[in-house]
Amino acid sequence: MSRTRLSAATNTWAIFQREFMALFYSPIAYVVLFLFMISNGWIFYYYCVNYARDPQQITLVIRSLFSFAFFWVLPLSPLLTMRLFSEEKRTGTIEVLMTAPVRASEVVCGKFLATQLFYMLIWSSLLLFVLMLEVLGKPAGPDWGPIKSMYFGLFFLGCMTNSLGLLASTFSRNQLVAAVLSLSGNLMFFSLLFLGWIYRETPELQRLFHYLSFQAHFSSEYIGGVVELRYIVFYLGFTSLFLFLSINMVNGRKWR
Amino acid sequence: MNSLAESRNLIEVDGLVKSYGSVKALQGISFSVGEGEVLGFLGPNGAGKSTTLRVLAGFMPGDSGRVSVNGFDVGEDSLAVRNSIGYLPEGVPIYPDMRVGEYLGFRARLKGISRADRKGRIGSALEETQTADVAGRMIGTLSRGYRQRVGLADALLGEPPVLILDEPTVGLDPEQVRQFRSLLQEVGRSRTVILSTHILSEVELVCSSVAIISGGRIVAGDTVENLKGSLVDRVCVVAEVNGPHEAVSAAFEALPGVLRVEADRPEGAGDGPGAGYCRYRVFLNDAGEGAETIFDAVSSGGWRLRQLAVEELSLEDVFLDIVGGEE
Repeated sequence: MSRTRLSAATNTWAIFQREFMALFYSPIAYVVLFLFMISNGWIFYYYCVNYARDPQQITLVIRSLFSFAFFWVLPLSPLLTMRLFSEEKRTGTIEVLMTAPVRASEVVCGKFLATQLFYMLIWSSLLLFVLMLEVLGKPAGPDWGPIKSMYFGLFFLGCMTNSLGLLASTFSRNQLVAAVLSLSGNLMFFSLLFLGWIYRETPELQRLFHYLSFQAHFSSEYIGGVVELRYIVFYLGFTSLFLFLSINMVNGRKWR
Repeated sequence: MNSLAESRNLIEVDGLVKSYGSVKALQGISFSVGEGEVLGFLGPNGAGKSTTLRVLAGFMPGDSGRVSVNGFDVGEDSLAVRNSIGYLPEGVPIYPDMRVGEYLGFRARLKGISRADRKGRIGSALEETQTADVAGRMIGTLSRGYRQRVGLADALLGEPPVLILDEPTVGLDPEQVRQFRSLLQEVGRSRTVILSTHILSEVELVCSSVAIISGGRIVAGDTVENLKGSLVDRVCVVAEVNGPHEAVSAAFEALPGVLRVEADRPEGAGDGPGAGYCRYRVFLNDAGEGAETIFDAVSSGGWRLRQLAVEELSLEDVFLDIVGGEE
């Protein structure tokens, strides 16, 4: 029993490493990182200039930076996950991979964890800006509480969107199809807030839509600096569902 | 030979059926491969070779039928099956963005080779396949022949009792093919190998037995000697005759025991002394007096005969005979 658990861990670790390295081999990681940093850098610069005379400048700059960067939640996971399985299917490497003594769960988890780490690395680039304010803004400095809770929330949100993207990439051998699928999924969760606004007359429905949408969580997490357990349950629940479906897709492969 | 018959079967396939949608790829395939045997899986394109090997390698399930490798059922004990095989798929799909040594290290970990053994195993696999000189190179930049050999090195890594190789010599140059064959002969001594190919000479050279597959069915399966032996009473007579083409063909086909007649365009057609000659290959069932009957037919027709020879039949002829007869 412990032997199989050990081999499961080594297999997942091997897949994780290979997948994490593959992100750096492919140009897409650099392109995403470049776009992410340049767009956020510009926003940071813009608000620094804009709020220069405001007494609450640091808080305002950080809040604006994070609320604009939040839109990256939509395309980031699709871009990072689209090739995970579709590329393996297109080039046929899946055949070599799955005829090695590995379980589908190990492959799925390894790939998922590698993406998750890279996802958090990309988000952590925002900390450079915060650090700048910390160093240059003395004696006043940024309030780290909401930033911590924001990252906490981003981690769990990333779990959900990355696992959704991973599932989407098991559907097609075309990366673009996979990306569009997972982007649509993200948009669906995103647009629920507007549904909540449409149904604002019915508080039950509005509460439900708010619970299911991304932004509602984040405004409460960032502004309030609190991470609510029910949101974590929500994210992890969907993550487990998507990972479970992915494992099933890989196990029941019918592709040629 | 006897010891082969007594040893256990490492691969057993019984009534394997597989369809892709409405296309029936395999329609009830049964065969077995014993320990230390090298089975050549022979068939035209689209016959179902790759499908069979994929099911054997545990990549996809068959629709019905029993398949076991090394004593484990492919459906129920997939992990154990995959632990006992080395598989080289058609076209060698391996990660182009990894270096050869790095890739083999990754594969060695997946195959559960302990850290202590890893380096030695990778080294010997590189050596066996003569790829040590490219160990530091990116797989994507390798030539087809090298990629093929890296794929083979991967298949050999776990020292599996069963090797499944799908078209392993496609893309190799003649010298590499020769090396590959000698490697396979060496490897085949201690392991069970099943390889698919459409090159007949390969089967004659490296395989101990053959299964010919056509249209999703095994149409012949035997040792190479027996298959060729079934042709002992058949013979091919080559005759170069100068005469009206249709009349000559018709005369040959009317002879007793003739299976089929092939006619080549005349050699040195046009002007000159060779004009008008046509080379006929006549396949006869009766070994005894094939050449004599042909000669008699030519002389009674009043045509001119330039060459008359008896050819030994190769495995290729068996193959064409069997596959052709199916259609």
